[in-house]
Amino acid sequence: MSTIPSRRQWLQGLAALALAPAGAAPALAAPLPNAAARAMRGTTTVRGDGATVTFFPPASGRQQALLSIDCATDTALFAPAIRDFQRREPDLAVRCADRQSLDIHAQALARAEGRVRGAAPPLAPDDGAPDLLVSSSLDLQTQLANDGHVLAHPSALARSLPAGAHWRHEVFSLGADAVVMVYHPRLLPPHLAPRTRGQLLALLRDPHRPLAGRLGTYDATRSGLGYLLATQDSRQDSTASVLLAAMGANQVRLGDYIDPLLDALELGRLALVYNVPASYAQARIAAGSPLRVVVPEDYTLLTTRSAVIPATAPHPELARPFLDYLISPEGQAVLARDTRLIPIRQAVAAGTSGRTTGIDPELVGAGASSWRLLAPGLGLLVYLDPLKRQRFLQAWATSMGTG
Amino acid sequence: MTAADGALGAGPAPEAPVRTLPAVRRTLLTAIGALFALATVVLFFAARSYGLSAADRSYDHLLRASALSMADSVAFVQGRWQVDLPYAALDLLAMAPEDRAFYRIAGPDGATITGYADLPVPPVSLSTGDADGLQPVFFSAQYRGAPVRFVAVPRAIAGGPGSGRFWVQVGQTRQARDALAADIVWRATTAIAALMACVFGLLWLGVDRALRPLAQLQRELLEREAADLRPIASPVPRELAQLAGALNGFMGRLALNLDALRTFIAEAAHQMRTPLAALIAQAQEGLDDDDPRAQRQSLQAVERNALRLRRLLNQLLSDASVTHQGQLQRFAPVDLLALAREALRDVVPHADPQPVVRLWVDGDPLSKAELLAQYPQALEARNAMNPVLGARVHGDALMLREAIKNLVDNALKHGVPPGPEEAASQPATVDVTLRAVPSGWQLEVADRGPGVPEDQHARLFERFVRGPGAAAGGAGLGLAIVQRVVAGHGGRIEMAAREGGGWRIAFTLPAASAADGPELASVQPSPAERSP
Repeated sequence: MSTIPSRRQWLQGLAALALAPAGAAPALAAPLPNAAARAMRGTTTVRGDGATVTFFPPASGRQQALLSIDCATDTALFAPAIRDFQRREPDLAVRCADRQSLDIHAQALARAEGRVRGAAPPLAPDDGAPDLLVSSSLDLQTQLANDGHVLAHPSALARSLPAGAHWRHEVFSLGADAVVMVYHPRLLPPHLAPRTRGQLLALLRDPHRPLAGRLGTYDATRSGLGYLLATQDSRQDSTASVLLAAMGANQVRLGDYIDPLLDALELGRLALVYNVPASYAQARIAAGSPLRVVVPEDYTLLTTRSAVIPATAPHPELARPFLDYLISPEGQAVLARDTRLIPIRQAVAAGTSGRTTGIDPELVGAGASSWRLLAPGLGLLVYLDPLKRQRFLQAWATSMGTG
Repeated sequence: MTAADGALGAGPAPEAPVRTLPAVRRTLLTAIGALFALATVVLFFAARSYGLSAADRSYDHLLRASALSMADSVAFVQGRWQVDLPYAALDLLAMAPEDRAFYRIAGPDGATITGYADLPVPPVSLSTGDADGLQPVFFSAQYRGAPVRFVAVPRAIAGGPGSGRFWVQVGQTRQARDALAADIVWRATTAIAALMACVFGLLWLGVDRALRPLAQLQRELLEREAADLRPIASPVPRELAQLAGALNGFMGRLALNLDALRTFIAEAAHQMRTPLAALIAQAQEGLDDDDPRAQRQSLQAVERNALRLRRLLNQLLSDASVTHQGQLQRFAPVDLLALAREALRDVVPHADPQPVVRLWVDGDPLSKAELLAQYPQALEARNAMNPVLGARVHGDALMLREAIKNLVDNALKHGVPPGPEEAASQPATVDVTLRAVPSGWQLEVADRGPGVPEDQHARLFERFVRGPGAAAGGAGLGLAIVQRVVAGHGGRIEMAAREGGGWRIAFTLPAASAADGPELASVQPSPAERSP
């Protein structure tokens, strides 16, 4: 199979697994950036068990080892880095399973508990245990580490990382993604586009209700990243609940993936999507989409893609060099160029001192002054407390009008 | 210069090996160094214990604050437990950036409300007892493969199920604590080690400084002329003042001795020169004289002077042998009577005019008259008849004999009764009496001579001091020898005028104890030249 897998097929596969897909998936395939499209050439993809598994054959054609990755990010966006690494390790095949981050962690936890109990948990039949977990749910990754279910990777390169880019050399932030608002300039004239959350709130309360039914955001109850962003908003902004209520009053559309929301935005069904990882929007813009990005000026969350090596990894020795590659300057350059992630060292500098050298000028845009980098650490675990989560989601759903 | 000076000035004396003890510096530094090492070890363990407790204290505060903020977020609403963990509850614990944290909130029945259900339970029961009296409980346990410090904070909630009691347990791995403790220990140990090094260095310098006077003393003594016996000039520390004082005293005595020796040699030489000069003059006179009578007179004068010289030499020899013998201190039980007899035999001249020397023994069975009549046979008879008188004293036979000889000799020289010039040719009469006294044995020598005035008694025992009007031929050594011998034997000397004219001198020696045994030291002939 040498064709580019259609995103529609993926989404349908995923939608089949979702209990209640939020909103109809758009019929259009998202355009892929060239680098990603090139990188996906020659891969084979199978679907099932809540995952889309992409196989990257070894560059040399002689497979000596297989690195298995569970990846809660778009495989295609991640593919250039995998390909670049395979050029350095020609005999290495890579299998990348694209899952929801909640699934990844539920499975990782089940395996880890099984390891603790000494019994093999029932696993998906089509794949073995992953050697590396890449996810945007930094809180879930941190929880795995806190519970002792990951391996430390204190390599020389890892030790050179600044604090805030890793936790205990177990959880590694690979790159940061600014969380932005994306709007369609045809439906929302740029001069009306909100620059801050306060302006967004004002727009939502506008008696003309310009955004009623045309606003989209993550479903915090279904998306790990959506939950993380919602909790961070409530932590950073004391008016977050007011904003949520206003969104609910404007019949916000919720999605458990960001791509369907962006698709709807491109189609003109939505005017603005709140809390979008910038890399997704930038990929579309680079591919010719008319969408525009607003970097909130009150504060800008920098979410991260993070990686851990689970304690149950069958081949941690394959995962380590790949992890080293991802945090190396070469890997960081590929991630920045093709996946549009802000290199983690620059992100830490931006989060701690506001220095934005090396960050895409488009994102710095209007001069965002308050970058809030999500750093792995104990604080993130608070919102994973079941009672806290239950309470938070209850309040969230009530605000959104879905509770 | 004298021979003594020559000997003293001749080259460096051969160095006797000095018995050494371990060096003061090494002894001091070793002892104090060992003490310091011990102190360092003790302080290290104290610092370690302190570091651990200090680290535990600081992080326990965080742990408790975290648990308390969690406890504040617990509510029981409409039959259900609600927990709204504050973000700070766990973010507080991120002060230890590398440590994992675990928590559990449990209800009255011990069931987990939220958190890690498998946390180790606190060592004390938190479900019973008075809620107000319950304090946070800190404890350590192993959890998920790592040592974890826990705090359990009990709380009661009004309207809650059962007792309304719930508790919050928060735990944190020990990485940051151990790192802080290690840091404290490291800093403290470094400071202690630096301090010890400084103190040790100062001590080293102090010892060096304290020993510098010794080195100066050594230098001063080394650089000194051998004859320089002045007191030490270098200042010495108080501890060495006694040593320096002793050294000064020793050198002072040595200087006195040397002076005495020089004086003695000069005097002896002077004493010998006079008779020798007279001898030479008489001999030349005799040679020049053609008259046989005059020649004979000259020869007699030569003989007289030669005899004087011999006596002088005998005295010098006697003095030397007494000095030598006194240094040897070889005392044994001796019979004083036998010694007296031998001394008399040696000292009493057999040539004319023979003096009268009588030996009395107090309590003698023979009468004095019999002895007088039969002299000297009476003396022999007395000794033969009563050999077991046992006038035993503890002493040196040679020295005692020399002392008796000198006393008798003195009496013979000076014991001539004063009178007209011709009386000088009359033989002297000397009575030697041995008697038992309460403190031992007394030997008295009495003559009919003019005696010595009281005011000169003390000077009599100095060398080369002669009594007033003493006849020529004495060197003034006799009584000095006697005095030295008697003093060396722990005895005493008395002198007094004799009733009926004359003078008596006596010495008393303590009797030898019975423990000294019956064996008498064999009395050897004096090494001094016997009388002809």
